Amino acid sequence: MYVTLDDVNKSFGDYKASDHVSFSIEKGKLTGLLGPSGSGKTTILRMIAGLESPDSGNITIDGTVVNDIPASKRGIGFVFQNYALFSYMTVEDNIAFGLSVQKVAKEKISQRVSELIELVGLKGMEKRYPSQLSGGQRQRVAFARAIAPRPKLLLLDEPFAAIDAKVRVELRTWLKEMIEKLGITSIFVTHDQDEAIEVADQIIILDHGRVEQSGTPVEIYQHPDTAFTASFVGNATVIPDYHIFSHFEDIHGACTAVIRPEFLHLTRIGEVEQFPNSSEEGIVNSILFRGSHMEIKVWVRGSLLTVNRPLEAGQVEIGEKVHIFIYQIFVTTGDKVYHLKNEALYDDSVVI
Amino acid sequence: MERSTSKKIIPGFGLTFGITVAILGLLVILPLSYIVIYTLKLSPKEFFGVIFTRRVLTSFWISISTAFIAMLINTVMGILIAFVLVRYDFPGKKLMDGLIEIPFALPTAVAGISLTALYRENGALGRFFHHFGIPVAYSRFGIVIALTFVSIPYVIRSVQPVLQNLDPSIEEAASSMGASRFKTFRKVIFPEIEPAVFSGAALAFGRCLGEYGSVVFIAGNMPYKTEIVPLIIMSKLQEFSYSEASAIAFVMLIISFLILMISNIVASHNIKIKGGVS
Amino acid sequence: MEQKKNDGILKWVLIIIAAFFLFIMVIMPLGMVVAGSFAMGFKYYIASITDKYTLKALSLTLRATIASVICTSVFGLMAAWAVTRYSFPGKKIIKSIIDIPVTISPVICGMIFLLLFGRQGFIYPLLDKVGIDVIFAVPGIIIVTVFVTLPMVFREIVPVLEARGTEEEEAAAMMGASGWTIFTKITFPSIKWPFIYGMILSASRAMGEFGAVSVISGHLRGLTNTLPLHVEILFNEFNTTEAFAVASILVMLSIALLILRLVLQYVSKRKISRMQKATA
Repeated sequence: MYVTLDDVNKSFGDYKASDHVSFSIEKGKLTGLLGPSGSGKTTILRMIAGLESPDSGNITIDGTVVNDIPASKRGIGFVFQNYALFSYMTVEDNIAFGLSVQKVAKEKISQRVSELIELVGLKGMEKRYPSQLSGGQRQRVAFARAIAPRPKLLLLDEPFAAIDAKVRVELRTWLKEMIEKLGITSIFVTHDQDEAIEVADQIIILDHGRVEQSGTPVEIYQHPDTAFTASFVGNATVIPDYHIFSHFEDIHGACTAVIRPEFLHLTRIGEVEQFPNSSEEGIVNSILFRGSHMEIKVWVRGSLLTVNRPLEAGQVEIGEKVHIFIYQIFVTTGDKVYHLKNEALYDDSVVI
Repeated sequence: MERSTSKKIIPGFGLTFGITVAILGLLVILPLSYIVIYTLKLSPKEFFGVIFTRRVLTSFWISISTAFIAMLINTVMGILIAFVLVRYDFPGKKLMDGLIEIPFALPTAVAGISLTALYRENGALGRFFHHFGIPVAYSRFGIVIALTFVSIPYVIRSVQPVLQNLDPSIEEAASSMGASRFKTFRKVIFPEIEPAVFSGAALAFGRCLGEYGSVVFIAGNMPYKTEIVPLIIMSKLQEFSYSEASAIAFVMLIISFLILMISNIVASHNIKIKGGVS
Repeated sequence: MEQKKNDGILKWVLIIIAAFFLFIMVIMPLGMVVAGSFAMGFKYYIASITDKYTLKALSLTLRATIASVICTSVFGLMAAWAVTRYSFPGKKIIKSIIDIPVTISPVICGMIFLLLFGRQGFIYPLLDKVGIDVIFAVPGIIIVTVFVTLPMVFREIVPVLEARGTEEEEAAAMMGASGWTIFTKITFPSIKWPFIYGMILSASRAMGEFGAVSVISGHLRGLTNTLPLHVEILFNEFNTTEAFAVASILVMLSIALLILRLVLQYVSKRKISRMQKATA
């Protein structure tokens, strides 16, 4: 394991930013720390960087405990949330800064700088100042500046937060490709699950300073381990009592459940239905055009559920009575998650 | 999310903090503590004996009342001038904006002699007032004039930026709803600039209380009539009555401290009202 | 249309009130200095400002001013760096202590040094042994002038540093830059202008300081007289024309500094806006 956190604790007054945090990261992987604001994800990143000290616990990078090693000696490249570009230096000087403080020879610096400018696609912008760049360009400069001294580990604090939504998607792909190309172990912090799922090789989910779950995006998405993960990831609707829906196993003491749009299937009355006997009745409450599909909110037994419907399937209307089939739900009790499938699915397979 | 960095990652803390504290200790805290030491040399009875003489009490009354009037004048004029400078375009606007800085830039002694010469019985402006039998120089009126001069910029400079950032569409909305100009100002603009007015006025009042250079010439320094607190401290020092001087200075410091506290409380109260707006 | 007309009248009424107030309160006193200086002709004016005592006072004023500018600059940079780049307990207290010299009466400023260095203070025997006079002497004048201007640079640069945050410095420190490199390459370029304004403000205050210096000088003509004190002596001796002539030197110096500051402000604003325009 390349980076390891072992039982790390950190408090700011009454606020527990890290509560017995332990996890490890493989070399060459791109890891996302995902959590809502106040979950302590940024604090963890800053502790790895050496910008904060843990109250207790060890942080190991490449086999060395780095707790007492100052930030500047850890061999880390850091991309700040607002990039922290040196506003009174040109793009070139920004990228060269790390090397020049290490007293690297001038020719080597300029060679490396032009190589990086080429890499991040900022040719022709060398003499510009940060205030003369767009958000996306600034991020490229920040990235180039961080990797210029060839760090062992790259840390990125909310790398896309300061960028327009439109450019953000494009930059995500760009950053993922860059990091893969360089093969540098990287950790980034985000509150945006789409971002984490799309970019990261491994996701660590945090809440209230605790690690909730760690795994690949697919694992996190399909097999949430904790109640928090189940409700945080995906477009989740929380149902206070799942017993209102029949056809699901009764878990003793459990009530709340999480339902995602992809767990549901909507059929209009009169359309062919796979499980007509196990569907629920619902009333369409609102319809939202999402470009590739329709997002439809339906009242089902007192709960407002969200379901997606392909455009080519027939139009529904607000107030229309429809049938909703629930394939599966995540039932949560305390901190446990039960993955329940509609019993109709089993019955059906028996028949066949 | 803003959190305070507990770790001192940027180098240089020891050096800069050390030098800062050393200079403050030697140049500010040590000398200032002398006022306390000298005041403590007096027994409570002696202390009140110094403060509760008619001459000292009168000087406090004169200082506070003249400073208050000067502050009022500059509050009204300050709002007006700030408004004119922000809202209107007219020839000579830049000059007017520059002129505001003169009272800060001009040495107080120069202001003092020049105001005295202007407002003497035979001075350019003094003659006018003399015509109506109003003495200006060597009277409390003169003190108010001098204090008004030195505190002109405070309210203007604190209101100007707030007024500048005020969205003019709020006013337009108010007047489009049929509110009169005066009502628009009172109900819409004034609440926005009120904290700035208050803090500017507090600064002006504090400055006026302590002002010496411009007043000493125009006041005439007659005990019971035109003797302000800094003047009485000065004359005690010249008589080598150092403990008496420190006792008076001590009271003066407490008053300035109270003004600062009140204005801070008002400021935080205002922030509470506007909470989350900005 | 009606509204527009009313606006025009109100506008000019307000402008005229403002202009009248400033004319009476600011322009007339300035004019008085000019009129007073030349009351007895140009030759007399030249003689007054080249008088031996005037020149000596000018020299002392300049020395005290230079000392003040240096001290407030060094202190201001150090203190502002310490207060804005780190968090430590007691920060608020330190900030309010730094403000003391500009918030208390100049007379009290002078007084505290009179008490500290005077005959009755505990430092006096020490100084006496070494043979240094502070009170009623040049060092005292310089010390109190330094004191009253101490926070000037600090007050100008702290708001800028606070608004900028510490991320740039943290980024540089993470890359292993030394404190000096961070300061010269990253921090200073951003506070250059307010730093210069602070120096100008402190020069202008130091030059004109009267109350504090008055307490500590002992008014020894030719020895411990600064220009403002010299003005006072002349005025009290009813040498009004000479007093105004000497005052006019101070007026010229302070207005020169004021214009310099306003011009620099204008230039720096334009530079910044030009940089931002290039983005668009």
